[in-house]
Amino acid sequence: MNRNDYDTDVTVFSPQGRIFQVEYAMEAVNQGSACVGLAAGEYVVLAALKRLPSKLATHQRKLLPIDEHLGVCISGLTADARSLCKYLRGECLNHKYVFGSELPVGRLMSGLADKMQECTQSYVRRPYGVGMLVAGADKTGAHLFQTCPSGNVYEYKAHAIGARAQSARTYLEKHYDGFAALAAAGDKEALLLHALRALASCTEAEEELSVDNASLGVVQVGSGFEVVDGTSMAPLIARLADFNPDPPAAAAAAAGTAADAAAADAADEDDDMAMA
Amino acid sequence: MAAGYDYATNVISSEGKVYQLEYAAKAVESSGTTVGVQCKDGVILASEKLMMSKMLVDSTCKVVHKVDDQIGVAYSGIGPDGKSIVGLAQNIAHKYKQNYGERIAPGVLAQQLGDILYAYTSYAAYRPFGAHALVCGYDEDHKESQLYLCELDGTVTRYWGTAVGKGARSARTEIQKLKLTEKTCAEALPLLAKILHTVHDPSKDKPFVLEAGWATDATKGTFSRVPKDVLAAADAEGKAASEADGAAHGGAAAAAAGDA
Amino acid sequence: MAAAAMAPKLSASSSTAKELTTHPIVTGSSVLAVKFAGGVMMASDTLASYGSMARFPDVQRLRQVSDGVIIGASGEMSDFDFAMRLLDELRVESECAEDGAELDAGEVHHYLTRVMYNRRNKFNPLWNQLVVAGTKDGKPVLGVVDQIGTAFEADFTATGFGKHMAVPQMREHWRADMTEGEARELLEGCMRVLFYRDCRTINRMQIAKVTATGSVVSPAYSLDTEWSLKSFKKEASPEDGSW
Repeated sequence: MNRNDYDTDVTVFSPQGRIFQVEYAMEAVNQGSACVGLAAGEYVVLAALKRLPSKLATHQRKLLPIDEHLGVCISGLTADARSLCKYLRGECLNHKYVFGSELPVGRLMSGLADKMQECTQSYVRRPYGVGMLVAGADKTGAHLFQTCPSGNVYEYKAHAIGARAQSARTYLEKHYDGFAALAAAGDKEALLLHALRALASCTEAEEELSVDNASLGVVQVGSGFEVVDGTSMAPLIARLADFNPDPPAAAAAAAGTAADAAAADAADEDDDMAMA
Repeated sequence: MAAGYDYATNVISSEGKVYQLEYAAKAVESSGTTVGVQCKDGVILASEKLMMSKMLVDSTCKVVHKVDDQIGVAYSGIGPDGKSIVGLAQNIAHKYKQNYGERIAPGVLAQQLGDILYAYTSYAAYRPFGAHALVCGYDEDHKESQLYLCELDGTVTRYWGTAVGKGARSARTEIQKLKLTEKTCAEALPLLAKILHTVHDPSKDKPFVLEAGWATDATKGTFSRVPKDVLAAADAEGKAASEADGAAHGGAAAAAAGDA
Repeated sequence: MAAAAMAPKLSASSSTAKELTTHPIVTGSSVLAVKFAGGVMMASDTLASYGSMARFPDVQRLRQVSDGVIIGASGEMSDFDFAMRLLDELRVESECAEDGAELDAGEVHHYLTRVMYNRRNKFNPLWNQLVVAGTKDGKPVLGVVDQIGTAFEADFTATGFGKHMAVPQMREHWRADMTEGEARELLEGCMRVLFYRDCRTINRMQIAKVTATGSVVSPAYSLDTEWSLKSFKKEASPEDGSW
């Protein structure tokens, strides 16, 4: 990282109008392991790569359920993510107490964005060092959001964050047009396999997706958020090798670009215990 | 140049400048352009919302917002800062209605908003907002629509038409030529779309989505987002007009975008 | 002095005690509501009484919250105004969010339930019986909440004096598959009886309905009445009237 004179306080603009402390916080997201999300029809699917901090440890949790209709996938500082999750859960519970219904995802994201923005404007705080993909379903449909330490919240059709996420983003852009048909046909499994396939392109060189290091989440309008991992994910992992993203020609092209992107994204970090 | 006098908002340089404010304004100058104009029958805000990815949903990260029945706010600058300003404006409108039982006038809201923006420029513990806000709405006492610019240093000015953001300078020049106070909002919208297309340089800038909201006689002073079909038609018309101009003047569009 | 020797007067209105609303001042009487096939219909008169005086004859007690939700109120009219102001704040918040996630009748009813129960627990109730009508996922919703937070949903309901005078008629005549016309006939029948029997009502009423396609509150109108009925005459008594 280049040091410069304007990068130690979150309350200082650089002569170009940048806030480096926020940009550095954004970097924490890129250091975390990959998260993939895609929204199609009434479904949103999340997939995450879990890190093993030590051989004597369990894999770190990446997917956190928030409410019946909502779950998040985190990349960056785990502790910051847990604190934000506490906020999200509180907001959802509060809404349920007051209105007896599930909090619309966009409203929740708006509140979260404001909360995260506040930390970028005061000397006594620091930006949150975590990015999240949020999958939720409400009466306006199924939504996928990305949150950033900067306080930006984006709604995406499909997106990936974290280390080597560019290759997953390339995969998703390539195949996104096919997702709507799968969603319309109710083929949840195919959507999950697409997410896993996108995630597979974010693994380290020797690493393969397994029931231990991957986890999946899916939310469907009307039927809530569900985490799919461990044994319930085993059949999907088993099918992954044979899974042929349609059409075959596009798949081959995607695999090619994914490999390029992975190579370009080679700069890597070793096991940082604080990073999820 | 600034030699150590440019690190904090509560320090003035020997030239009498608060450099942090100028740096903050730089953040606005690198973001999408927003224009606001007062017309014969109402007021319009229109914005060039830059989209950093084609996988983004079109409606995300709105820059034109409704803050009360009759008032809209749009911003250019750092997105989260702008969104936060919108929240402040909503709070001001809400509190005013609670206290006085009637809707706030746009001028009062703009001034109160300016006071908050100003406060953020005068404490060491905070930084200024990295966004300018345009406030527009219907003033029930004066029976007219009004447009205000709240700058990040706290300055509040009423305008007939103005622009902020990357292409602000050339957009303002264009607005001055149009005599929009003699036109209706419906007539003005495609012209504003044309300006935004003209200051946008597809070879350098990210693609953008046109956003617009208005409070007109037809909406009975209520601020509302311009209906999708009307906006799409204005967008297409503006784009075509901008391209026709560009072809005629041999890349004047690119030059116009470059001057910011 | 004799006055100083007297024991201090203990009452809720002494200067040391804080006295909150213990009774309503300007009140509206019954609200009636029934579900019918495809919607909900509501009726009330337009009187706000000051004690026993028919003080304000043109007060709307049925109000539109949104396209899909209407509310009717018995009890203290200023508290009703306050509750409506809370709902209007929610409306503005929702419109500013521009996400299309408007509150449905179920949510509005739930919200009012929380407000009313919360205020009752502060011993500072909103002195109303509120009836919320609307739709949720295309199905009719009819909910009630009162000043102590009692809340329920029902197929038909009445507040105020109507709880005694109208509900028995509704029990007898209500059917789930009633048409809009039948529902209106039932409500007008109940309103007519209430006008005959309830001293806090006038013959000037409104009717409102909500269906999946939206809601309307009618202008005020009067019912035909018949005072020569035998039961209204008490031959043995020197005065007229059945009570």
